[in-house]
Amino acid sequence: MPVLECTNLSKSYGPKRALESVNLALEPGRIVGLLGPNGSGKSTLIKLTCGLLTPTAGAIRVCGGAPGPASCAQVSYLPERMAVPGWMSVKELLGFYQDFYADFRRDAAEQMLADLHLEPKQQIRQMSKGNREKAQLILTMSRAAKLYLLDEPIGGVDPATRDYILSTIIANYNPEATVVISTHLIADVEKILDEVVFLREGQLLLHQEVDALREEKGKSVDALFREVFRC
Amino acid sequence: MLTKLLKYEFRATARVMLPLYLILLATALGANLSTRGMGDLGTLLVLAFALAILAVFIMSVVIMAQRFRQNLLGDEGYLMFTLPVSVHHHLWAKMIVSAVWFAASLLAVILAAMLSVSGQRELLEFFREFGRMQLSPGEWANFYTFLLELVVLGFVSSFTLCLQFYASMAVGYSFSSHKTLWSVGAFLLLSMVSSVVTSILDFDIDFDEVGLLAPGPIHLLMWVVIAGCVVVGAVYYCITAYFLKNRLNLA
Repeated sequence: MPVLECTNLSKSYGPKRALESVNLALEPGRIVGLLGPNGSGKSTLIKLTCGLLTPTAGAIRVCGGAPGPASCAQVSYLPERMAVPGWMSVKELLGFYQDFYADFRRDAAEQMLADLHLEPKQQIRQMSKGNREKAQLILTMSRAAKLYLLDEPIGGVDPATRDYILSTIIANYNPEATVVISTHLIADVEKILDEVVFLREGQLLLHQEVDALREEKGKSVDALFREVFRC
Repeated sequence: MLTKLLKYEFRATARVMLPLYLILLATALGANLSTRGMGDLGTLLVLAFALAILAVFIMSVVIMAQRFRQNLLGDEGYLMFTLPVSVHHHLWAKMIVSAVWFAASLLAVILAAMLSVSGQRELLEFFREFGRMQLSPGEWANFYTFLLELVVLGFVSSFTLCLQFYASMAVGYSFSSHKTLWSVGAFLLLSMVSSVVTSILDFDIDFDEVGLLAPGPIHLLMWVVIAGCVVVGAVYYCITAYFLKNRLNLA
């Protein structure tokens, strides 16, 4: 059964169409790159999957049901922006996640915090932007979820941390789970992707396995992206 | 899940409200000292106490509105609306915590007022007089029923006030731009509609005929007002829940 299934999914903001009749099914155990230029509908698709938006037309099923509290218990979402309250310390946030998510693995989170030298007693608002992003990613990846939705997870961090984060994503996700990564930094994530989804102006342009794509086109995903979305 | 939401909501709001109550009690002590002849300093202390009372009430309302906007409609909304929690639990958590702070603010101000005049002969005399009041058991029952109705009305109207703010913001923040302006517009519109509706359904009791203190009409009036508040609140609740569920448009 697909963890994410979109059927003729459309979303409009007033007269502007952000997604148009998208048909997509993602199976468990895959790392999927959700790629496209700005305004292509990546974040809209992720927000629809989380239940932060409701579709204008079509249907979306997440872990077998419509987005809602039941699917939220199985989906771990990393938003593009800082969403955790600034007044809370990292330690308080661990308690918050543990309270609300039955699948939260506190020991894994504490290990990652130690690896990245993040001080658990420090308030989020006292941290640098990069450290805040790391803390938020650690919280997201410390859940044993069925579907991870990572919206620009490596945008604001340095290259060394970027490598750590990518290895963390691979090491910490449940092998039965699917990870969807939306990013512009394709060259950095390409090595960990199993599949790619290209979106252009709200329409699904391509959904293919990375290895098959490289073989068929004779180029990397990054090179193909530059060719397809050339300005 | 509601209890967990309440726990974090109390924690987030207590950071502001508890220090404010401490300031209020400190200024009440200052006002008490001022009655023992301190000249201009005494006047300043009384002024500080009055400002602290005002600040406590204003902040109770500001915190109520600001928590909803920041925690649900701001960036934190990305975290809150992806918790395995229904919109109804989010709404009740916000309403209950706000109503508790309204009540706590009222109690804190009463306590501070008593502190500010404690040790004064007139106050002791007032309480003695109250204790000496000669009322029949029926009149005492009537008095306590009225107090109970006031408490119920207090909570119901607190919920309705919260929901008017929530409904306005839920509508205003569903727009892509000028969210605050739309929220203010929605607030004014809701105020206008509810005042027009309540004026149409005006409940009229001729107190000249039945007597203002007659137990029946007073209680009936109280329950009609409470029921009216519940109906208006329920409409605001439905608007808020609908917009948060179907028209959420986080920036």
